[in-house]
Amino acid sequence: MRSVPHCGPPTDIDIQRSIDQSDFREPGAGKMHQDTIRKPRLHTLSTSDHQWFGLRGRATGPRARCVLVVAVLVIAVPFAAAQRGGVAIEDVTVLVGDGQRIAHANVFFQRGKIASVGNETELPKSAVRIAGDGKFVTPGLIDCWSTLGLRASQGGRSAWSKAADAFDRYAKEEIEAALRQGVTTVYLPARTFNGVGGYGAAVRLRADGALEPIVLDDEVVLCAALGLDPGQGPLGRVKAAAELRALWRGAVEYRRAWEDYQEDLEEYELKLKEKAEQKEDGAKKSAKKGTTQRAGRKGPGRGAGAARAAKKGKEKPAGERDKKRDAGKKGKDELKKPEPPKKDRGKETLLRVLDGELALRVEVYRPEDILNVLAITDEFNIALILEGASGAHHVAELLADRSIPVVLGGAAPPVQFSAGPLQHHRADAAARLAAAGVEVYLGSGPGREGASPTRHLALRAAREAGHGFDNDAALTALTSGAARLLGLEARIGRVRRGLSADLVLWSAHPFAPDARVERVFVGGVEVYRADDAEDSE
Amino acid sequence: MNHAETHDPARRAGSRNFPGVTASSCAHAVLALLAYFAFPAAAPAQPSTHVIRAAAYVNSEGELQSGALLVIEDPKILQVGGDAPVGAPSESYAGAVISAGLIDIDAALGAWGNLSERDSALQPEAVAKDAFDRYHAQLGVALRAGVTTFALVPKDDNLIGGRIAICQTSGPRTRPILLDDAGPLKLSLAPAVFQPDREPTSRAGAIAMLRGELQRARDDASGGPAALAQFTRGKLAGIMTTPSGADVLVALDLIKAHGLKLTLRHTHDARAVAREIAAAGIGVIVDPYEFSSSPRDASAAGVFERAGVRVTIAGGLPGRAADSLRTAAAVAVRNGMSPAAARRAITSAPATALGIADRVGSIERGRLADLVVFSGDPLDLRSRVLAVYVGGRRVFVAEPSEQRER
Repeated sequence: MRSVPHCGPPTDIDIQRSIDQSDFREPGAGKMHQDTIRKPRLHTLSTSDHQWFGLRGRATGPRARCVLVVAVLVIAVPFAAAQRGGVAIEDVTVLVGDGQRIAHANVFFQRGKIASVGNETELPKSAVRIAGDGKFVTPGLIDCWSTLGLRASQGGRSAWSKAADAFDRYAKEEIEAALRQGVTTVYLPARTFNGVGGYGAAVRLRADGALEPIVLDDEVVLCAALGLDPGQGPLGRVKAAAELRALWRGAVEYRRAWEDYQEDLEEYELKLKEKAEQKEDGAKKSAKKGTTQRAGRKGPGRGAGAARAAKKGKEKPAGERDKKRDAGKKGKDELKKPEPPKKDRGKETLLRVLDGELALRVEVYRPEDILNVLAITDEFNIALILEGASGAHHVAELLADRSIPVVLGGAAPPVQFSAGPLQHHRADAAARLAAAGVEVYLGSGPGREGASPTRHLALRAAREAGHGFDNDAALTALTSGAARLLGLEARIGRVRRGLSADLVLWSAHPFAPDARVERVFVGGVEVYRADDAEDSE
Repeated sequence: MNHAETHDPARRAGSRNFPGVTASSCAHAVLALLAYFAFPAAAPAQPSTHVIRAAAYVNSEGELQSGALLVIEDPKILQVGGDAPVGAPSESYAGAVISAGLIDIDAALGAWGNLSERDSALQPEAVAKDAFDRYHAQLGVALRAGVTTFALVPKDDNLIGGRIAICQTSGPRTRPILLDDAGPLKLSLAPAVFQPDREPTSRAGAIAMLRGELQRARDDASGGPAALAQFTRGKLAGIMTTPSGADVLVALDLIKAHGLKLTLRHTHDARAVAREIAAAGIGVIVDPYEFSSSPRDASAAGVFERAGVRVTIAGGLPGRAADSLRTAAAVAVRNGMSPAAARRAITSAPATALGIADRVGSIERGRLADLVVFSGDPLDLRSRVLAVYVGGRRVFVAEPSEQRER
């Protein structure tokens, strides 16, 4: 199964599931079931996870509790009551996030979730009411390509490093700047110049540094890049592409090595068993054949290998001499326990992509690099998402054929001719790609100086609309579309019953020049209010 | 008379011709030119009066005023509002908004990389126009984004950088003209001024050097550089880059000491120095904002505006995107600037700072008819450029079929 976002709205079952789950990391946890490789992880490396687990247990230490209390006092005092009775924003135009628009609607949320949206619903008397006066409510915007809170933009090159662990939840100014513009969730890549950089993360924003479960998913995709090194010439990029291909070859070989090992191990175990049986009862031949144990498997092998091993084992002559099975005196043994291949965490991460468990998201800026990446992902049947992708309009048909989504950054192409990657940058790339049938997503992307936090995301989308991209599509790309890309569509991205109450109250349509963010809620908690911000200035 | 219908700006973007220049319009221009030189005293036989209508226009206060009717007598605006003269040809843009042509006060169009002499930090006699390639394709790109006028500004790496040239991206006679080939003087206190291999090497040295130079020019009645002599007597305007609040205070001192006519480029410490700048009665220029601009920088325009300072927003072409002026203005509004001030900040405010406000920068009777027709509010990034007029001539029109610029 490919983990590329599926099209269309989630089913009611999805939504119901999301209502039921109080656990915001549920999908991530779900992944762990099928994944024996990730066992060693055990959250020792992940501070975010660590903190999150601390909170989930509700058995947090006094210090954590103290921080939490302060956070609640600071942020949620005006809405302390609301946490119980719920909050209703009345008489607003709701831009649902999927292209739908509901005029004169009331949005009611309670206990962190949206409880009702519409113009006929009755509001409970205990609800705190906010007069909307015809203003606009949108879902919290999602920046599906941010570098917010990531101090280092050039991540390590280990495939298993996590952007979530590098996220600085105390980058208060940057987080506030994003919230102030209505952005509540960001996707953070594990950036690198070439090759594989690590796991990208989806993180929700709180400016108070609260130890909330802010990491929605720390393994959204596997991040890679091709041709970002500014000092790299065309042949250097060819080499980089070859290295990227070699990585996947290496992963395939690694799996094969483990399969072979598995085979040998089973053969070995079979022989041991046979010997044991011979020793105990030489006269009786075992009638139980083919009951090789498979529970003890440790490598990323596959069923076929085991079956073959069993078969092989049968063919071998059984009448061998008795052996001592004493582990301490192995030297004399003819029967050797096979050596397992060396564990390679990086390759195991790559295997998750090869198994379709994760998509590969590649940052790339030249059409020829895109073609190189396509050749690799075609060869290894990898689910691909392109990021940056200037010049993608040249290969739009190829991308549309393969249903490869494209995430475009916000840096605008300068007028000045550039011989660098920017030469393929076009102001109307989104419109062109969409016209060719490519799924287009809009993120902030890295700025001129390499790293640029999420700011002015709505304006960034409005600009695409000015360059021919459909208006509704532009807003959808920041809401339900982005949620779908990140696999979070059952939880965020739309103003709909059951989804997390991540909401923004705007003074006007978010793309309008004079639109102002008045209030922002994340999980039903007010995290930004315009007046407060002005007072504190 | 309308040359614009057959234009294909897209195809001409890379050519040496300017967008909106067809063979026929060239021929017309040549004829007009011949006629002009052959009979210099003769009034045009047929005054090229025409009318442009749209849903609204940006008035001189920067407000959107509904019902735009402009009577143009090339190259100027003859009348705003009222009744259209009988029989005059008319172009109508339903639902559109007409703005004065945008002005980029910090451009290097056609002179990228050529505006900085590193030999000496004092270049009062350098003239930016000498570096200008008026046939560069960049001008057409800027034009199609609605930028009709720009200042070629010597870069920040010299204490006294030289004279700013004020140019148009197109002209009534099909090629761009210089509105002022020796405009205001450019000065800078930016860190780029301090170089290890020449004077000055430090901020203190730079300020001492500048003070000395200005004093010398003032004392020296005849011998010194003409530009500097005029500047120190307040007869020549200047633009000074002052990256820090401390630089601003130095500039304000110099203004007080010499009565300089100065506009300051400053963004970062707006909150700290807005009141002082307002008290000095001078204008400021803020950096070209981008989506990634920090809240502190992006709010500077609004801070200055509320302090009563005239604010210009720079565009930075061609180092930025063609629509960088509008993007920057939209970002400024998101961070507290009023929409009217933001519209002024990319039209009339830069015209004032450059000393050309009597000719361009606003839609008023007697100004050059440098106009941009937007599909909506120029501050709304969803709006597109539908047409551009320079000197009353339509030099660009968006193709309705494609619905967007290429």
